[in-house]
Amino acid sequence: VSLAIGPAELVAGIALVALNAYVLLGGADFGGGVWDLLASGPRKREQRALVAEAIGPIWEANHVWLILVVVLLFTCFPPAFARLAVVLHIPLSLMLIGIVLRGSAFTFRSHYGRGPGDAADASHYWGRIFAIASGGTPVLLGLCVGALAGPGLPRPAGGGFYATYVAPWLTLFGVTVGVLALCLFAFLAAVYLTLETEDPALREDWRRRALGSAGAVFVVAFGALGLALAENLHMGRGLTEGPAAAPLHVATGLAALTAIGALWRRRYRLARVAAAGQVSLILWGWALGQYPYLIPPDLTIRAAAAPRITLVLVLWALAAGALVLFPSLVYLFRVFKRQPA
Amino acid sequence: MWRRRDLTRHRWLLRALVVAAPMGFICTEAGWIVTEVGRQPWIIHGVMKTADAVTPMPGLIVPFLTFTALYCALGVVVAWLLYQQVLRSPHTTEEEAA
Repeated sequence: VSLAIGPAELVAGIALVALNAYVLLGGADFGGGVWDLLASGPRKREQRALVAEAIGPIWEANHVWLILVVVLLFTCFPPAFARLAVVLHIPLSLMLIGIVLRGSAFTFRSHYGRGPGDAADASHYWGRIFAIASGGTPVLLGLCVGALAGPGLPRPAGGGFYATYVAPWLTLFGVTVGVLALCLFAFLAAVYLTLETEDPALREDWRRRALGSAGAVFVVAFGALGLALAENLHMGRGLTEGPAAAPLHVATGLAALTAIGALWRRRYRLARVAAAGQVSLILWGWALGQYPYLIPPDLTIRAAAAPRITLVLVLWALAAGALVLFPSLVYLFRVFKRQPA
Repeated sequence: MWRRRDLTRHRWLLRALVVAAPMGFICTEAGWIVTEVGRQPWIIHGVMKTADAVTPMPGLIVPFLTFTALYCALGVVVAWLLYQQVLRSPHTTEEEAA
């Protein structure tokens, strides 16, 4: 596989970077919802309060990355967008419902229970909706990625409804990748949350959850790799045969071990960097595993790309947009995510 | 001289504010509907018809009804929450304002 970099590859790379940012920032928000659902022990209430406080001001901003990925797909790779939107219509629609419900439930919950005579129950129900939508959406996202990475999404060949619109994404491999996404997001959230509190007991809660979910990630990731190899999926070959495969596995393994070791020794800042690195490397491993295909088994980045002039204009627009976006995001995080002094 | 009265007691100003509050939303939505409906039957004017652009998946009535119901329900909740916020806003009696 030759690595020729043209505007198409550049845009695809930027889309991957944006997806990476969405996973690291938005993913942790979904993970936070999962921990809301799984809150337990004597500090149940405090756990939920911290999750809400950590997500509160920035979760909507984090969706900027997903929007960027979608826009880049339909402006720069229209045939790929068309096939994804047609074949993955059902999981993508459900994912959209999940994102909408999750955000609105989160907002509604904080507006209930503020005055006398309010039904505390209403707030509770919105909390449930928020938590369940938070858990379901990453599974759907993983199902879509699993469909791409696993058997691929061939051009619909005129089979029945199930064969065209359900079978491509409802596979054992897809479900495994869905569960992997859920575990990764919960892991990220737990690691981040260790740094969001000054309360030692609460911090220990998150440390235990981070270690537990790191174990779950380990098991499910190897399950997914084993399935990919056993079913001889495109992804399995890409992940084990390419020239970059071995270094990538070593780096991912090192990041995972560093994260677990740092959590064990309560070095939370190091754990955060290592966990983010581990999750990013898994994502890049997927991308590298299916390069040069945007949609395996037949649609390459080059073949799906829009005319050159479109790609060049988009790259200029991205450069200009970055000048606005990055300072704004830095400012937003500085305002809302200042470390507790 | 022109600020003879407290603005919060200016009944016509208050009425105008009540009317103006939703105007921004209504204008945005109305403009949107005009562009979307006015462009029909084209989805990209002169290039592609809406009928040719729609996804080939059968049974599109299901997602259509689902999303409609979802947004109607969310709309009702938002309206109810706003109503609660208004009910809860501090009451200023005539004596306090004076």
